[in-house]
Amino acid sequence: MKRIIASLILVLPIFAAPNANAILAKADSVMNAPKDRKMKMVMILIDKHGNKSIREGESYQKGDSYRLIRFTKPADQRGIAFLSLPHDVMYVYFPAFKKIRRIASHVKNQTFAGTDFTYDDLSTFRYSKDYHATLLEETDSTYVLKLTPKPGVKKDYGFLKMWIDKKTYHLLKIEFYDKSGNLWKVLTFKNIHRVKNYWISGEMEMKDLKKNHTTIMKLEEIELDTGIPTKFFSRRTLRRMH
Amino acid sequence: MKRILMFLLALPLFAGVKFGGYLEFYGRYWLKSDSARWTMNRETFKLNTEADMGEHLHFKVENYMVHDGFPAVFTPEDLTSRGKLSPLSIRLGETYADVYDFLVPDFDLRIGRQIVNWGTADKINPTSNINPYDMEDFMDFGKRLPVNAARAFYSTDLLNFEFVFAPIFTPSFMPANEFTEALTSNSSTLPPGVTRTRTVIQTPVPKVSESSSFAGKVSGNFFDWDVSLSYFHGRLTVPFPKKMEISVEDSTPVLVTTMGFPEINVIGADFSGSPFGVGFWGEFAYIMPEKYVLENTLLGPDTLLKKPFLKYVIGGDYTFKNGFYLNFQFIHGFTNEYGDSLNDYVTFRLEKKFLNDRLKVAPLGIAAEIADWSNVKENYGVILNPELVYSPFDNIEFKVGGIVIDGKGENTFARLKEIDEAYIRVKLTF
Repeated sequence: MKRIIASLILVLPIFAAPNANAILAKADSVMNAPKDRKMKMVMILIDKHGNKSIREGESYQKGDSYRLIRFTKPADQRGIAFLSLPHDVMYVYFPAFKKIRRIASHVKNQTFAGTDFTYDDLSTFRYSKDYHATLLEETDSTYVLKLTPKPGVKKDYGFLKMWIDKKTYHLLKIEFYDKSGNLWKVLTFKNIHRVKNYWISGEMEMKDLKKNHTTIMKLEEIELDTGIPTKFFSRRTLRRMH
Repeated sequence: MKRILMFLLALPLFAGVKFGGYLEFYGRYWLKSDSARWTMNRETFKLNTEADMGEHLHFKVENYMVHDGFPAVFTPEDLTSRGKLSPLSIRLGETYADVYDFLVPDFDLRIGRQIVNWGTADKINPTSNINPYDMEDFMDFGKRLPVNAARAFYSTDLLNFEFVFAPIFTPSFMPANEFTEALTSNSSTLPPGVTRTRTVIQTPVPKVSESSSFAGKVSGNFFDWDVSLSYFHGRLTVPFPKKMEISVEDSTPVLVTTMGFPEINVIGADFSGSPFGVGFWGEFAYIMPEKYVLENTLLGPDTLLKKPFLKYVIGGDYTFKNGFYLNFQFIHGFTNEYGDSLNDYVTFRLEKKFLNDRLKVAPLGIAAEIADWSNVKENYGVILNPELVYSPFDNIEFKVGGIVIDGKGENTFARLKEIDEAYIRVKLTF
């Protein structure tokens, strides 16, 4: 009996105050659950006057370490491709130069091809790797976490606020704050639905409040667990993509 | 002709044939007050045709239709010639077929006219020697001409291998206007009694031992650094004087200079990485020329090339917190320099994007030549190239800029100092 009481004393605080880092790690696992995925992307860029321009492309991802994105439209962006590999190794291919270029880490906080996503945003798979989480708020349906960069991790963001669905552990919204604590960008996950056994967001909206510019990324023709080999994520594939 | 038309019309029937290209208007104006004039008047229509034919085949054809130059009308008859009024040329760019997983998995072949763009440096790539330079527009330095070649790629998890064989020698395309003199030092004076000169270019005989070139490269990523080692055997693509003699033509003594293309072997190495958040690269070419002796019937033989020499580029780039992008390079040996006559160059470019990347301003674009470190004040050349690029909508780009050149002494840039120009380029991509 004493043992049961002692165990309850140990376990109760876990129920009372969920571990924020564990929640974040679980959300990361949900977001990266498919073994691989390939999909078509439509990016709608909206400027402060409401003018729209559209980018189309394709995206491939394997696990939480490999991603390849290539634009197919508009014509002046066609063929631009971005490859993200483990250990922060990234390459970009610009057809005009017929050359694959290594992306240095100073470029990671620059926006990719006029969108509101930075190279770093596109290569961040697991927030728990770079950020330490604390629980700000818990409602019936959501956890709200505050994420601060871990010591030694260089980010342009001062901290992040992240909304996580309690039922699915899928991300709902992320607010990105600059180092002065001002709200900078808001990423909203929409059209969250089930594909196979995974929760997938069919639309993401990144709003840059400083620039008053928005990028809506719609994901279509999503295919999961098709067995994309790791070697697909290579400079060879960048060279082969036209 | 009929067959070509039929083929072009039938192309879209192939599944997945994609067309693309651009239309570009390019004008340059010489600003020198007493002889101000247009120096470039070019419209280019580029058409790309490419297709994946199944999983293992791909082809690409680049066609250029270029209207370039000014009406060359001197006689009434010239007025009846469209060629004289509107100089037009059709050029074939890269035209190749890719075969993926040829014979074994991960072994790819690319056969046809192509550009083999090696090296980690920007624009000036001393390890990239398969393709000759296209110096038609000298300000677009580093541009290459495609050549017919077979190129093989093989990738493993650790390393990438590449081998290229180009059977036919193609010399570099030289600038035909005010930039020509900049590439040749004007040190030669004519012998007494000689008032005429004639230059003969002697290209290698088109047989394997004479006109072919080949190269191999192995590359990989180690400890977050991209590195490669390469080897090239072929020829310099810029002509070197081979023989100078006096010949009598129409009872007049003429200095005849025969130019050739020396053989070279090149061991190359390059790297790129990102230490401390800064982009950093280097490219080195150890060039071992054949012994190349100028037969001078007047002054005796002169050895122009013999000793190996090193050309290299070291550079870096960085994006500051305020969005300014800085790119810098130190270059030892420009594209037209070989042997003992290698000069040092520093390039520096600062740019910033505005309006969600629609406007790019490069207020500082500098290329400086230092021909003599012990006497920089008296022997230097500087090119300033501020530029503004604006893209109001997708697929259209307006580029305006200026070229201001200053210099002193005997060096490439100083020889260009009279050429201060403004330019405009409008490009519509489809």
